[in-house]
Amino acid sequence: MKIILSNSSDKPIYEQIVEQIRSQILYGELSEGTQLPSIRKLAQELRISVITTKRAYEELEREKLIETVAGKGSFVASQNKELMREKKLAEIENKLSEAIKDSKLLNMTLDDLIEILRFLYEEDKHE
Amino acid sequence: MNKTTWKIILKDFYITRKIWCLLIIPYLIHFILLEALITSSTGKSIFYPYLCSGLYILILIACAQYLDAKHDFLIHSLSIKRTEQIRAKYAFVIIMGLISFLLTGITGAILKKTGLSIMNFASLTDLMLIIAMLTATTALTIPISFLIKALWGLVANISILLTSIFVILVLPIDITVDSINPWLLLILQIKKLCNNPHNIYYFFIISFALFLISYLLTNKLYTNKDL
Amino acid sequence: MNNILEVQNINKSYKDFSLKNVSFELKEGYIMGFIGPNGAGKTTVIKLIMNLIKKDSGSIKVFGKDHIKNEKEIKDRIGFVYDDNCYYEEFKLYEIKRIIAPFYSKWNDDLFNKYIRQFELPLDKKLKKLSKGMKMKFSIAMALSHDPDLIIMDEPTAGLDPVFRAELLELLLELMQNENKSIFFSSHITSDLDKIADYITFIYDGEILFSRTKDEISESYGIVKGANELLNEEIKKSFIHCTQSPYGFEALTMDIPKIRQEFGDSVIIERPSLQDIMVHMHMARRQAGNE
Repeated sequence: MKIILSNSSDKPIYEQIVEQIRSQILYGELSEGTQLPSIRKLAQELRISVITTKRAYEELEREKLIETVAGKGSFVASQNKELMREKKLAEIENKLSEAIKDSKLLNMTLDDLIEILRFLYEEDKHE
Repeated sequence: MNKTTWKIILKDFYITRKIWCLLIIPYLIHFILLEALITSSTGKSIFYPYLCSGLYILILIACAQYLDAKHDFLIHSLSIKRTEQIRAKYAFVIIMGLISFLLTGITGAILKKTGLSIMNFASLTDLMLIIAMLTATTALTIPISFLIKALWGLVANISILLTSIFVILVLPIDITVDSINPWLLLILQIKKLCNNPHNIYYFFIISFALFLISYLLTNKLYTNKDL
Repeated sequence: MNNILEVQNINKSYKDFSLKNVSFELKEGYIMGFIGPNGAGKTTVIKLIMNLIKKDSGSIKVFGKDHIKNEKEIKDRIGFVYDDNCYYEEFKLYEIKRIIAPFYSKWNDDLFNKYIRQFELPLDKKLKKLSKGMKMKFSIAMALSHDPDLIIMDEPTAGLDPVFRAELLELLLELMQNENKSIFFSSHITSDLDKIADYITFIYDGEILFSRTKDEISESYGIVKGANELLNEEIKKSFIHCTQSPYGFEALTMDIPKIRQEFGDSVIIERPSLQDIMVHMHMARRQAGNE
């Protein structure tokens, strides 16, 4: 599991954790049944408050991405394939929205944006 | 006298253990010297050895008292109640008095066997005198140490010690005084009083009463004191 | 979730300083940082909890029990570290241990020796011969060697080199893996608390200004930086305090949404450090005092 936190980001720390774990679960880097570190262990390793890690895990549990078994720990939940696809789509939409927002700051048009998208898509196909 | 009070007393023994060792030597020398002096001049042995050993014990008591009064933050951050500390301090005095009495008696008995002394082993008046002296002193110095300032308590102990040594050692036992020096007269009066066993008895009663009053007062006031 | 420490409406007056209605709670399993400038009352509060001084009014409960009625059983479970060394200076370290250990029911010699080795302390040297940092390390070793459930520390890192400070924080975080332990940690070196504290209680001039989770604090306060031209009396009202330089202003606010709304992207809003909050609030109070 990989978690890199940024102090200068706008996003609160717990949100950064949620995002990174969510992304790793959705893209298969964290497979079903993998045990996550306890909230205390994680807090210790990341040098943050245990309340923050608790909050992150609670959020992930709410999204049904992980499940906590009392006395044992927290594990990556089995993901419904349909649900996963939907979540991945939601992520892609998020990322595209951000790109759109940024492009508007530079006063780009929709066509400019599509142009870039096409270029990058082609480039990626060749790799 | 609960377990914690005993723990405190044992701690005080441990803290002063180096002084125990250091004090035995001058005590023995003093005892033998004094014993020889007195016996040779009067032909009979009197209570001075007991009184002197009481003074040495006072040094020990003063040290234990000072160390604990100075480290009150530490003591009362541990599982030690204010009343337990005070009870331990007062009990320590009595226990030390008894130990001092026994040690002196044993030393005297040994010296008597070796012919260096004609001192009789302990009598009740000897015991009462040591206890009386220690209780009279500490009735005053414990409240000063714990209620006012540790250093002042130490100063009080040392002053009493020095005065007592002066009284016993410097002035010869039988002296006729022509001068009207009130200090000298006072000391002579004390010596006269101490020579009379009846007076020792009264001295003991009054001292012990003061000691108990001091204990009750200090206990009450120390419990509510801001350290 | 139990409250391991409950301080309610404590009042204590001295000639020129008083604690007024001090209240806060620490739940079991967390670290509370107790911050405030020098003289704000941090040490006084700790002395009150330990019953070294007597409160005028209010109540203090430790482990759910009254701190005076159950003084002994409570103190058996508390490890304390004071900022001034309180141990016998004239004695050697092993002697001090032999004096103190019998008073704790859970004293663990193996644990003590482990800390002594880890901190590299010379057991047969007199305490007064050690440097300030080593005296503090000794205090810490003593405090932790009886497996305390609550650790109370008054400025334990002041006077320690940064390397040992980091070591100490590591140690504390390791201890906190046991969720039945709690730490109450007063300090004016807020950077240490930024790293490990779960809750922060801020005391200023004898009063508690806030007692919240560190997350809440960093989310509800913001440091706003922008050009001086943007300031007006209206906006200044939503700042707790504002400092200006010829090049711009920096202000502390509790109303981030409003500032975002007003200024959008023309200002920078950063997450404040505890030090930022402490300094700005101190200056705000000073200003209020002068007016």
